[in-house]
Amino acid sequence: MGELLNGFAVALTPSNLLWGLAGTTMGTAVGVLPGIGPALTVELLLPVTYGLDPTAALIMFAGIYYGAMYGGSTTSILLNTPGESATIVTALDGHHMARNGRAGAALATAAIGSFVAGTIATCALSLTAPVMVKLALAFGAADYFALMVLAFVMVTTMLGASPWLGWCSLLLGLTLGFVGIDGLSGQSRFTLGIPYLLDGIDPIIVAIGLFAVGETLWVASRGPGMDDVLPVRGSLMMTAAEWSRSWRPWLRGTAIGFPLGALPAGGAELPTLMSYAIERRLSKHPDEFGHGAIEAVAGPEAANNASAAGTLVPLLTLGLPTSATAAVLLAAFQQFGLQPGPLLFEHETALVWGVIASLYIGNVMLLVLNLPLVGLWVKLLAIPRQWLYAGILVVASLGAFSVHCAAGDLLLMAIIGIVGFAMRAAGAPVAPVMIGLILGPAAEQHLRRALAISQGDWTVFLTRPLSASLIVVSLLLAGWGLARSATRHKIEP
Amino acid sequence: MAITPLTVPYGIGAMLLVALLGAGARAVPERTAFDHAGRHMSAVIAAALLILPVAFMSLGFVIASTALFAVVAGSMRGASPRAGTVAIDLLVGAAFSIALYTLFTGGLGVSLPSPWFL
Repeated sequence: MGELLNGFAVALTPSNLLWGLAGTTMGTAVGVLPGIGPALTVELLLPVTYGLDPTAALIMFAGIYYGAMYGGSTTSILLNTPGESATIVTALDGHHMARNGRAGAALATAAIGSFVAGTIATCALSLTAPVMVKLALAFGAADYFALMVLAFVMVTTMLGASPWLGWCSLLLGLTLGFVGIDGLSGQSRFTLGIPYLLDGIDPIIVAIGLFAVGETLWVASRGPGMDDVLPVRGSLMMTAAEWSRSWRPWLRGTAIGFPLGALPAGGAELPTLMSYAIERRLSKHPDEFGHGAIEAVAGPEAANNASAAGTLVPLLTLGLPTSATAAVLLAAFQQFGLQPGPLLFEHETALVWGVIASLYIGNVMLLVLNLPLVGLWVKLLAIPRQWLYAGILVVASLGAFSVHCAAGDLLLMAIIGIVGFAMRAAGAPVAPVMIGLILGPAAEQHLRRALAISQGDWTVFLTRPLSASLIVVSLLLAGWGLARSATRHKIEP
Repeated sequence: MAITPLTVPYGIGAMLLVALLGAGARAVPERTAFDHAGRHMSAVIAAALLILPVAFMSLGFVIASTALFAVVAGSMRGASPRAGTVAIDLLVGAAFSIALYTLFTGGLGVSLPSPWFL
């Protein structure tokens, strides 16, 4: 509790408040743009934080992350263009509500639900993080390796059209992660004799290529055309009946979103779908689902925001990114020479708790920014599509160049962008690439450390109860995923 | 069994090849059909991005970014380029690039390339 109060002291300094406000405003402004999800928002705005001190930069990032989550719902409701898979469910009924002249109520339940879920989930984060840190300090190298294997298996099993494609994405990310000089032995790996590759491939470049360039090429490949933006009709004040139909889904969405967000299952996709299914089952108006049910917006939006806070638990305490956005956030931490994990809580207490405290403040800022100012954000949707994506590529190339001030990074960005486009075309998920790229080298380090400690004895992963349990769960999950894929393949040849 | 610094990367590389073969052997659930205009638009943008590094270092950030903006905007418009729309795209691109250049070099202290003739 004392640490959280100290965190508030850090987050409430005028300069940090200003950075937090700048982050939430920019996050909302970019997140509201069609087709731009939180991962791309965070990645596009990363260069803006260069030159700031780490605390201010990460407070700004937290604001950008939450702002992008809020902004995404506006696009889903008014434009039916979800920026990421997690807001597809919001678009289903939210857009129908907007078409029925109830856009105001849809935006209000999404914003208030996000505020409620974000605040409760941040409280849960504040309570669970110290416990997780204590647990994490007892983790050995074998346990860390087994945990990362579980993260790999869950991400590949849960995301994408088939586990085969998920595995391809993950293995591509792992392979890219091994490019460069091995930190332990000094041996070069996968460098193809190119000096530029000796330093390895920066995750920021890969994120920019996959999300900004890949997405732009994907949108372009669909041909010209523009979706209609629906006007904000109806009062932003919800009626008593709408409040009554919303508050339970908000709480249920939070209860689903936070724990599932903390699992290495790829982020908010699963919690939002689960929330939608549960609300449909519990609703007194199941016939309205798919045609503009307010519960179908309230629950999944709450689940989406709660999972964002849930994602921060493994990210901050174990250094384990469980979604593409978390992977980009981890890369942002590393950009400032910080490695999230239990030691970060010991060595950078003020910074970590300052960031957590800024989430509470950011939620309040976002409620104020999103409800009364929604008309302003809607105006951003009027930016012509060709200027929007041209602007994204200019900012993306600026971001890629700013990392090392090297032209080679621009070429790498373009190549990875073309790969990202091909992956989208094949139905392969891109999130496992980021997770493999970032966690791969760490997993290899833990594997080698565990084997060094056990003097080459591979049974070390099965003799420790925690690592053995994690390995067994990973094997079961991988087997289930492949069996499910084989069954589906037989049914739908 | 001891592992060398190359064991894991080569093992993962081999698994990637196997997974790619496995994925290729199966029917991809949602094979995407692109229309002609879309294929052309994405090809033009990809080509622009591949030559961007050379333009960036020789022409500088502002000119290269303005050109990139105009090429991407022009190709995403889908219609045949007209002098009027190209001029507007160039103007908007230049204003955007100059604003970014000023923010990053002046405000954030990031060094961006200038044109070779300056």
